[in-house]
Formats: sequence, C-alpha cells, structure tokens
Amino acid sequence: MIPPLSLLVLAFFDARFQSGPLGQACGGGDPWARALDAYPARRHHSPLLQPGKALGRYDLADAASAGRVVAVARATGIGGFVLDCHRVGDQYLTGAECLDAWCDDDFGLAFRWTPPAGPATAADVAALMAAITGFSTLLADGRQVLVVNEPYRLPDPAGTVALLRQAADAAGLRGLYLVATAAEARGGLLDAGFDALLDPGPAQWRSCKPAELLNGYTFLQAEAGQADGGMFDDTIMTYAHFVNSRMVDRPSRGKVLPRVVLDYADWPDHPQGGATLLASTSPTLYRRFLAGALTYVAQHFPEDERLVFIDSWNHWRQRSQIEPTTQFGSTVLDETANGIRQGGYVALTRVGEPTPGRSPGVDYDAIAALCRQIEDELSLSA
Amino acid sequence: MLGGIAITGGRLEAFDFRFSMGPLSPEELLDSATSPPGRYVWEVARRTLARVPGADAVVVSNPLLASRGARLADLLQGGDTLRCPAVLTDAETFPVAYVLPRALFDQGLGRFLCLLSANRAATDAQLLSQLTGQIVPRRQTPLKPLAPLPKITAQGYILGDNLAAWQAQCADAVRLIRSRADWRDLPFAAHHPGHAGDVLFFSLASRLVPPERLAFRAQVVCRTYLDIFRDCGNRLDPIVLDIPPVSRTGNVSDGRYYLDSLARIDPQVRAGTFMVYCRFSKSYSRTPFNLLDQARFALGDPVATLDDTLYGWAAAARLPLGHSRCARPPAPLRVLMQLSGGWPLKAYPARPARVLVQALARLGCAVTVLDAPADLVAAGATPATAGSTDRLAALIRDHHVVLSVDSFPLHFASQVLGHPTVAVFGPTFPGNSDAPRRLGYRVPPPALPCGPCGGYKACPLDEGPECHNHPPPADLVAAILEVAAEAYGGAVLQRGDAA
Repeated sequence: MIPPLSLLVLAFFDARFQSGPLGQACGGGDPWARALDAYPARRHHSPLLQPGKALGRYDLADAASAGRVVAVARATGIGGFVLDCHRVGDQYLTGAECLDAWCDDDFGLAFRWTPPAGPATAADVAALMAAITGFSTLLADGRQVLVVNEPYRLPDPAGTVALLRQAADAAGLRGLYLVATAAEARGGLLDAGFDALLDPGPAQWRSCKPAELLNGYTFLQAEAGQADGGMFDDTIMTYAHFVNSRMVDRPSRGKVLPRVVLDYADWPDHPQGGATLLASTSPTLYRRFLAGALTYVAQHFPEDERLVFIDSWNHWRQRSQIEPTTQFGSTVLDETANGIRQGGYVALTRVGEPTPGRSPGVDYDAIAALCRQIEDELSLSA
Repeated sequence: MLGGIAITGGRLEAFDFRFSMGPLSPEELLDSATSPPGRYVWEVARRTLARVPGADAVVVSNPLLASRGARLADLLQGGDTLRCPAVLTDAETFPVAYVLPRALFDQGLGRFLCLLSANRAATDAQLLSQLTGQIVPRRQTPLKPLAPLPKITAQGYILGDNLAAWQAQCADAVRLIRSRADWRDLPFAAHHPGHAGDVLFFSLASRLVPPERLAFRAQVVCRTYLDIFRDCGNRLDPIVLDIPPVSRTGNVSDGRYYLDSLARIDPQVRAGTFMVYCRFSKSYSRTPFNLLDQARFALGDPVATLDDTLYGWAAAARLPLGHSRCARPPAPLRVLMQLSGGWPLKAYPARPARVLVQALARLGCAVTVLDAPADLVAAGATPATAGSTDRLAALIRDHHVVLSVDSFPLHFASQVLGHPTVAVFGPTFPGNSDAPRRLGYRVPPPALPCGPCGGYKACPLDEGPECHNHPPPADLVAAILEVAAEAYGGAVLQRGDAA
C-alpha cells in the first residue's frame, strides 16, 4: 500500500456569524447584514457575493447549522478552522464553543491572535490561554497551533513567545506550536522562538507589481475629476502574478507555511481608497495554487508540520470565502476539494525524492556563484 | 460525474462515479485522455456490477455528459416499460445512457463498448444490437435537447472532429460484426500512431497491463515511430501507418487525422480488426495522472487504486525498467542534453542554456547537445543527432548523465533504459510524464507554480516566446552532479567541489 501522507489543510474562519456571546459582543444584530451590506463605489470594485443555498446565512449558535458547516468543510478535505481571538473587555472570545461539538481527531480548531499594541502582559496572555483551552484543537508537532498575526507589533518577540509558552504550561496545554505571520525568516522571528512562519495576507504583503500602472496623463485626468481616482488609491494585483510571487523560490524564504487565497478585495473597509484587490482570479489557478502548496509542504517540512492555510472559509467581506455562493454555487468548494486531492496525490508520487539542495558533497553555493559569474559575462558581452 | 444504475428484478440502485483528481477512491475513475468515451461505459458498467453482483442489467450514462445516477433513475422511471438493451436519448436523438444486459459482460463482450460513438444513438443501437443479437430500441426521455454541445464538455472531452472519429469507429465495428461470423475473436487495435513519446507510453503500458485485462492485440503506429514501438518492447502487434504523424500545430485535428488515416491502412487488416480511436480526446494535463497510467486505462486496465498507479508499489514492481550505465571512466563527466521538445514552449530558453553548458564545461564536463543550435556549440557543447532509437540508446550509454526537457529522449532514458537522468519540466506538469522516483533520477522543481499552462508557442502570462518556469541553470548543474554521484559513486563529485 502507498503510505498515507499527513497533510493538513486549515481554513481561516470568521465565527462572528452567530447570535451567541461572540455575536453579541461584536455588536449584536444581524452579522450577515453587517458583513455584506457594502456597495462598490469604484468601477474596479467587484460586488460582494451572497451565501448560496447549501449553507445559507447560518447562525453558528444553532448547533445544527454549525454542524452543517463543519460537515461541508470535512467533505471538502479541510482538516480544521482557524478562529480569531477577539478581545472583549478583559477576556477573549473565539466562538469555538459553537463548533467544538462537531470536532474530533480528524477535524479540529486552531486560533489566531492579534497582539495588542505595546508589550503583551501576563494577564492578557493568561486570558488568551483561557479562551483557547478545552477544545478539540489542531496539533502540529504534537502541540496546539496558535497563529500570531502582525508579529511586528511585538516590541519583544522573544519575550512574548516565552510568556505564551509559560501561560500555555500554566493552562495545562501540551505546548504551543507558534506560527508568526511573516513572509521570510530574515526578520528573526524563528530565532525568537516561533516554530514556523505563515505567508501574510494580500493586504499585508504586496510582493508583486500592481496590475494597472496609470501614466501621468491619466493621473492629471483623475485629479481633474475626469477619471476614476480610486485606481490610484487602491492596489490591484493580477491573480496569476500574485500566485506566482507567493510560490516562486519559496525555500529561500525559510520555514514559511503557504497561505492560499482564492480572491481578495477589501474595498468595503477602505471606502476612501487604499484597498487591496486581486484581479482576474481563477478557480482553476486557485486549485493549482492549493495543490502546489500541499506538494511544497510535503517536500520541505517535517511530517507533523505540513500545514497549508486557506484564506478563507467565510471572510465574505473580503470576498475571499470558499463557501458556496449564490452566484457560483459550489464551484470553488469543488475546486478546493480537487486541489486537496490533487496535491495529496502529487505529494505521494514524490515520496522518496530527496529534498532539493541537500546532497552531501555538492557545493551548491559554488555552483550558484559560477552560474552567476557566467550570467554576468554574457551580459557584458551582449 | 458518471452515473451507473444496477437493475435487479425491477429494483434500481444508483451509483455515482467521478473522474479522480488523485486519491482514486472506490467512487473514482482514473481520468484518461487517451480513452474513448466508450471505455468509460465499460468501466462504469464493470464497477456497477461489482457493487451489485446479482444485477440483471446496468444503465450507464454517456461519458460525454455529466450525469448523476439519481438523474438517470429519474429518466428511467417515466414512460414505457424499460427494454434491455436500449439506448436512452434526449428529447431528440442524442444518446444519454445505455441499458446493458448482464449477459454482455458474462460473455466477455464488455470491451466492445469501447467502440460506442457516444454521440449517435442510431449507430450505438446498431452496435448493441449486433453484440446482443436483439433489437435495440432508442427510447426518448423527457430531457431537453442537448444540442448544441459545447466545444469542450464539463467532463473535459474535446468534441469537434472527435465526434466524427467516434462515429466512424462505431460504424466500422457494426460493418465488421455483420461481415464476420468470427467477430468475437477479432483483435482490437488502438489507433495511437504518434508522436514519439506517446508511442513510448503506450508501449510501456502494454507491458504493464496484466494479460487478462489487456483488451487490445494491436496498435496503429506511424512508420516513423516503429523503432520506438519495438525498442520499448510493445506487446501489441504493430499496424504500420505510412503517412507522417499528425501535425502538432493543430491545423489537422486528431479526429480528422484518424478519419484520413483509415484509408491508408491495409484494407485486409481493417477487414479483420476493430479500430479504436485512442488519440487524445481530452487535455492530458487535466488530471495529475501519468500518461503511462492513462494509456494503461485505455488498454483495459482499471488502474482502480493508488497502489495500481505507476507510483504505487504494485505497478512499480512490474515496471520493466533497465539499469543502463555509462561504461566510460567517471571523469570527465559526460552529459547528454536534449533542450528542445515537441513544441516551442517546451524548449529550455537559449540564454540559461548557454549558462548551463558553459558552467558544466568549466567544471570539466564534456557536454553533448542533441540538435544543438550554433550558440550552444560556441558555448562548448558538442552537437549530435540521434535519428533512431538505436543511435539514441548508444549516445545515452556513451554519457554518464542525460538531461532532457519533457521529450522522448527523457522518457526513453528514464523509463526504458533506466539511465541516470535529470528531467526538466517547464510548461508541462511533471506528474503527467515523469518516472517513479529512484536513485539516479531527479526532477528539479519548476521555478514557478504556473504549469501546466497549456501554452504552445508563447507564455500565457507574459506572451513571450520562452517559458520562465524551467529550473535555473544552477539547479540543473547541481542535479546533474547529484545524479552522477548516486549512479557512479563519489568520483565525479570532485568536479562539483572544484566549483
């Protein structure tokens, strides 16, 4: 038999779609209306999509609805959700209690924490641990996964990591697998004690050139009010270039887990401009992106740390959701399932392949230097 | 999605099968671009009967259409009493499903379903009639007319001239059965005459399919590729086609080529052979499966589990892989390269190719490039021409390592000879045509995640003539040294250290 590979696909999940404590703490009322009542102000803003019939506008406080959501995610091949930790007063709310009843060893929960401005305090971290303890959690390397968002806000990353680990021990957790949102290992976060890094989201990391660079003529036109000025304020990236820039030369960035994005458009939260938008998105390319990410982690990461993050399951307001929509049905969900299957299969076919660049006795640096030197010589002679 | 229904004493049980994206679970079918739609009718019927061994009949949806079993059951419920065998059609005449008696399979005639046209109900009904000896009615269903069909169906089938090709193979089969009392014993021939790599994959597949599964006894092959057919140990009998292989530019489609080529096949051979159109009727990169597995499926092997695939242990153990090595002393390291492939975008770009050749030359390697352009000769490469598989095999054995883009020399060196090989993939997907992992074989990761892009002459992203997804020269040099060390020991590595 072909040995199974342990590959885990997680999806970022917004648990505020509920009438329970988290929903109430976030303002009460209809969370779907809050998320979806936004209308494009610019011609390049794609309208938000609407939930499809399969799951509808669910209320996670309703156990059956939450169960349906988890069941659909499981059937797609997703291994768990990543929930945001929302600071409410002196405690954190995650909404995990709505989903936990439907979780088990094959489907679990992880958490994402955005540190407050300034140094993290013991009380804050203790409150965080209280919020994420006691659920069916996702494990990496035998430890509970906690994603730390915007780690550059931490004045002392190493101190915060130590504080988190102490608090986890005190809370009785079997340890934390800390993942920092950062594009490459050069920032010293791994040295500070994080176990891995995670690709930042499209708005946090714009490593490919904008799709539309307007010239001075158009600039003057926009300034005079005769062209859409939003084109200057927003950053628009073509999806194909975006995907390429995320996957190209990954090993050189160090231990960075892939974040796979279907679409992204945060214009509802940037009414005055400054939004980040992906253009010409494609479910087919998304499937390849996902399959490629799975193959990559299978080849480059230890067995218990092969995680791929999908951004997102239900971030409707950023148009990145993979849940079924009224407009496109379950096309994207099907492509997600296909991508997971395809990536898993391709990874299996490469079992036994040595990790590139690791053979003893081959001087990779010298070979790279030689090729660069020849490149330079060719450039000079041209 | 393909629907299958088992009918047992008037009771219907519906099953859904889908084209697999990799896991090959029991509900999934290997997606084979070289299988005609009729091959899937046979396979779904076989799977359905395996689920319900006592079934009296099976109903299988037309593989060109996406249809669930439950939908088929709905279509069966209304109207007149269901006859078996029968061809169900839409409100007009397009075949939607086939009602097949169990006896067809008990008599070992399932393979004849490969000959169905899947787009002309009258011809299909005639074929089933000849096979079963019964009158086969065409029964209309309430389904709205399916025409006009798209150019490419949701199942991935490219229609166009393929429709006429499938019709022709079905009509020819009907004529043959009518004219020959011994039709049950006549051989099936896979019409898959080229190109070089395709003949290689079919040849290897013919060796991997267990004899009891092999539905074919012959293969139509262009004379140009007859040496490949033989040197790859094809178990089928060749039916030689004395015309050039189909053009890669698309000015003549595979379907049209099939129709035209029939007139060039010896009439006596045609009068005693069932021709099955096995050229590509889908894009082969639609799924992650190796072309060898796609060919095995076409030839009758169900390839039903991951373990059965080329990368599974069961198939790998049967792979008739050679263990070729260069007999020359390990230094200087001799490297044979093939840097251009079947279409322009497969070619390794000119500038990195010069860097690659120069780097190897400076490391003391002797580099030979097949059909080398002048700039690579100027960079230090020795030009060579293969011409035949004998000559190519001799050239390969005269070099320690082969480096090739996704082209025949790559597959020949890695899958037939088992020579130390570095595989270079750019616009195509490695999993479709690489070899199982072993010592002395490397696939340096492509540089970008954009493949397979389907590009032919130009990159779909920047519209330039070169593919940027090929691994950079430094990765290829390193891979060559790694492979050489694995295959010949540490002596050649000293050269790498000298860098």
